[in-house]
Amino acid sequence: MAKTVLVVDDITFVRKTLIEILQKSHLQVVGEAEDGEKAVELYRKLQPDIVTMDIVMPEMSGIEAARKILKIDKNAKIVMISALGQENLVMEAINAGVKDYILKPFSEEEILKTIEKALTSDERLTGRASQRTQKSL
Amino acid sequence: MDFQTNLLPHHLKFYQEGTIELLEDILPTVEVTEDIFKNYLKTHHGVFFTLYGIDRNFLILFFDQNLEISQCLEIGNTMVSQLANHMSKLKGEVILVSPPQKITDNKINFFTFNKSFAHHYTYYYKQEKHTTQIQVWLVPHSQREGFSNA
Repeated sequence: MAKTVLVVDDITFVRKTLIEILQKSHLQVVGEAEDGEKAVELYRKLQPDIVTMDIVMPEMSGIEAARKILKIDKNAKIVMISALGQENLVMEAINAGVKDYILKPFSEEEILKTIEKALTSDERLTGRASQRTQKSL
Repeated sequence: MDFQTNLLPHHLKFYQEGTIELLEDILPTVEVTEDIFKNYLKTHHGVFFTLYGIDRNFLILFFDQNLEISQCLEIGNTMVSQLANHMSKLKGEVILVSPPQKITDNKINFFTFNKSFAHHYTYYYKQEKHTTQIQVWLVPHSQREGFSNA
């Protein structure tokens, strides 16, 4: 059975690009949201296997939405989508419990590889993995 | 190549859509006037960002009207994040960036009231079937502040 994805980004173009990439693979996009509030609402309703979450959005940020989703489901798998220069926000998201992050503008290969890794990993980026990420940022 | 030339990316792969390339390395410094921007707005989408550091600058971008506005916003987001990151490293200060805003006729004097000199960059946006230009302006918020190197 195909793994399901919820795509969250306030820019239509980015959502469209992500959906195109994901639909070409074995993943099934079950929903899309343009802000954090809608993302939380859709997560409750759709229970996707993984969420791609833009880090900066109006109304409710990606970090806040990730925190709320992880409160609903502590095993939720979330990959943050970030722009260059948002290292502090990425660290905040990792400390909140998200699985991984990808920098914009991303390639098809990077997206699929990161999502695959997050789906097969049962550990959060905490402890030693988090320290490694902190160094690489 | 000078400081201003290196602030913005020279070459950028933009998702699966295409590449964005700086047209030339030697950049003209131009006095910004309302007429320049008003003329662009007749045939282009205009988007701007405000960069807040010790100095304040505007990054202004004009795109072919055939491009979807959300694609223009994302190109702007990509360029401004690289610019802010570069400025932050060079100056050793935190640079905050506003969300993108669409430029309308009544916002133009916001950029021109100081009669500033700005740096003008021309990019080619090469997609599979066509190529368009992106006009980019880096405008200091006030003439006295101007652009400074580290």
